[in-house]
Amino acid sequence: MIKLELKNIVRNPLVLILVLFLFVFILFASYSGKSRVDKQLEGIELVKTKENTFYTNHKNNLKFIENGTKEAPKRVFEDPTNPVAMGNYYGGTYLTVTPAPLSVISNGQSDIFPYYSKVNIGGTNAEKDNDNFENPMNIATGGFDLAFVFVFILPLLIIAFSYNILSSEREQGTLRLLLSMPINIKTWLLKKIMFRYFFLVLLISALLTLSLSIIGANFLNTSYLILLSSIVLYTLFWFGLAFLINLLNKSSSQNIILLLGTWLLFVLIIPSFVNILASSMYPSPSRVEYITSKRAIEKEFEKKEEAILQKFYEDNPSEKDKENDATDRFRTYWNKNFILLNEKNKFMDAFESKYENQSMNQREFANKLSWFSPAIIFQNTMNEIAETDTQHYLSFQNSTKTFQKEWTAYFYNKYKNHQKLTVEDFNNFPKQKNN
Amino acid sequence: MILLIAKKEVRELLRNNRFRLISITLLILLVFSMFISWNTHKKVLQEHQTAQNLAREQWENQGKKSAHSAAHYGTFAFKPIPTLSLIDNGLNKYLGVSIFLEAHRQNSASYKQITDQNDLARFADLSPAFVFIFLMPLLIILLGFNSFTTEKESGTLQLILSQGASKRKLVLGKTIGIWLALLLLLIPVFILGFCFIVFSDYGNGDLLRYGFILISLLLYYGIFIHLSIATSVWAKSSNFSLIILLSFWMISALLMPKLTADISKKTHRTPSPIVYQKNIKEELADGINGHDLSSKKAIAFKDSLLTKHNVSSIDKLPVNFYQLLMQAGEKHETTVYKNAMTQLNNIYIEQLKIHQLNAFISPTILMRMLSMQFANTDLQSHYNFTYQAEEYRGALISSLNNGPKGVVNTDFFKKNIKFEYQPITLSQTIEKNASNLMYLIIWWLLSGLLVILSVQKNKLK
Repeated sequence: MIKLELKNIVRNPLVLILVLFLFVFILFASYSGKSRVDKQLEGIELVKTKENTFYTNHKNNLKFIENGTKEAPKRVFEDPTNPVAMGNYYGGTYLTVTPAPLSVISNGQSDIFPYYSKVNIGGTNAEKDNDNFENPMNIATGGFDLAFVFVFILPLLIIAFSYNILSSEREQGTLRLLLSMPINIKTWLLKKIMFRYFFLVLLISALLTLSLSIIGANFLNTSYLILLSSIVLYTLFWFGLAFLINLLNKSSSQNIILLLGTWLLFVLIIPSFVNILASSMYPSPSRVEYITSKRAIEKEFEKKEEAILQKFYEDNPSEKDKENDATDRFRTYWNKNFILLNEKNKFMDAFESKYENQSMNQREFANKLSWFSPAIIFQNTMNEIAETDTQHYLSFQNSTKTFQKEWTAYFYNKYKNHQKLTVEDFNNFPKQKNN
Repeated sequence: MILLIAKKEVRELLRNNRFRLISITLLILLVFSMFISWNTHKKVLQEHQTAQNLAREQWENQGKKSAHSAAHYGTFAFKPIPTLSLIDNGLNKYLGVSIFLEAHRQNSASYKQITDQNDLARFADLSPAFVFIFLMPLLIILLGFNSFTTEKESGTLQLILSQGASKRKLVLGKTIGIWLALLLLLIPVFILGFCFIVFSDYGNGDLLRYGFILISLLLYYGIFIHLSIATSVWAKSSNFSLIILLSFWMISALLMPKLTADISKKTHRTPSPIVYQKNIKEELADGINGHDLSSKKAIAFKDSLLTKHNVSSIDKLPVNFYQLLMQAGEKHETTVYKNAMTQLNNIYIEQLKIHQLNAFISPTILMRMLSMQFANTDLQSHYNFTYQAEEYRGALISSLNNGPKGVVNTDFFKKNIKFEYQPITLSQTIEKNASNLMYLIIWWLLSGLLVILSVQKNKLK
């Protein structure tokens, strides 16, 4: 029977066309995924070069200054011995999101969240200023990535592959012949479906592996196994559905309509309703309100500044003496600023988190309801494998905040003790731990 | 005769359980999505008005300071929400909602709504436009795919033809029948949409815009009706006809838009943010900086001013040198930012042309562009906003740079100009998207031609 089935499938021109299309889609999607990842890698390279050039130049200057062959520059921002000048202003380090090995499989949220952030004493710019500059029309349309091919297109191919297994027999008049044979029609159908299922799963795995090796992605890891097993499960779901609908014993056209209806339901309608439900239960924060409130709260902080300094000096009387000692404008300013920056960060974080939490609740709620549709689960899994899901970008933004503290502490220590930076120090600046 | 056929067709369709079920589902989706977007629209509108007033209040009460430090303090322009975003929210979610206006630099619009939403907001977004543009064609396909094939399969076609009905009349009658069944569903929805617009704070031309969206939609549906009829006449079995039509829908609504997005990204690459900012920085360094008196450019500017007025030092100038220098710097900075943004916008426009080109394969792309253009939720209206915000920024900063010397207070700030947004007029919209409308008509005509051809090819026997 298997031999016959195989012959049937291979000889069917429709199947050949479908296979061909599937291959073209997978290959194209892999390529466009790769070009997106390449663009990201290029951008990372650029920011890293920029940072390295800045610090190498200053380090070289510092060598001359230490030798005594050059004098420290007059402008304080250009002085490589000054910790604040090197840790702030034009200085600072770029934190980046390194693409996952299988990042090509899903665009996810990569086109709306920035993949790098400049961190210095002044703060981070993870949430702003480094927009991705993609056409909003293209962002709204979404890309042709592997996630799209598997989540949206694959079920349609499965439908085309299995909508008429039973009905075609009836329409050709061979059903009676079949019924007259000593076999259970359900087992017969199940066998047929199973065969097609294994055929398609093997085909996809082969095509996917081939495409990924053509574009040179690294797929020798457990994520790839997870991806393959999700494909296996997702495909199983759609074949199972096709099996049930075949059992209803309707005409081929009715089968297509029913299957297409379920496709719309799982792929478009349930996700839309979950989205609507989540965003009406937990509305996204209003950013227009945020903008004006932020202004108000910044003003409020300004009013508090004197009191904060007062309190700080009361708690740390030794700092107060230093304050009086400060002679130049630069130190007077930074003595205060270091104290205030820390407080301001705390103050603003408390304000921001109110807005962040609102979106967080919405996301959590939507994730809870994702079980209503295998399409959502599959899409989420692929985003997670590709590390392009919202959560990944948000934790990147959080890690920049943590790192910013480490960075500031390093330079503040030097500054506080009136230390001049040495060439050795330049090699010891805090570095991003590889995530 | 034609009417008779049409009547019979409608009656059959209405009796059809499948049609009833699908129409009711679509109707629920449409009404539901309209209510949801009306609700959001009202809320967002309220927020924007409050924010705009609050921002002005903050500007006026920013305290005593010099006029130029007020320019650094800056203010915000909020993007107004067009009324027709009720029907088609277009790209709004993916575009920033406000622009920070400050001295020396042009900021782009920030805070996109999408970054605050759950991931599903990108997966599928149920809006009236989505149902109208993506789902309605499916209904049309289901209405028309077997209009002739069943007659062929059951042999009734020959019966009808032998009774003296001409093929042409039969096709025309069936087409009208499908139209009538479709309009029966659509007209109440169209009226509902009309009511929502009337009851919200609609502006000049909004109703006409809505009318244009409806006309384009009807043309768009016409294309699908034509294709369904033609395929049904041409195909031997209902099954085959259905598969062909669904494949077309899949290509038009699903594959082509996404393919186009990826292709346009490759043919017209956008710069990476770091390169973009580097270029701006280099160009800025190339001109006058209003805060740097010692730079070569500033000295040259001073000398030229001195020679022009024939005096020996800036104290003797009849004009305020520092204000002029600041304004000269501002002018240079404005040009640099404007050039950079124009370049980026040009890339976007080129990418949109690729979308337009691919509309020859997919009428859905065309319809989507048309509907967001008429709804004022496309890129062009966003540029209109950024452009006007930039003009306003220029005027405001220059009035501050030329303002009184020394400290100014609330009285002065109250007199500063306010940001008044002028939305794109209907004639501007039509001028810009006349080509899209024309392509849609071409699609309609060509698909109509296909129907005529299929009849003449004598496939009906």
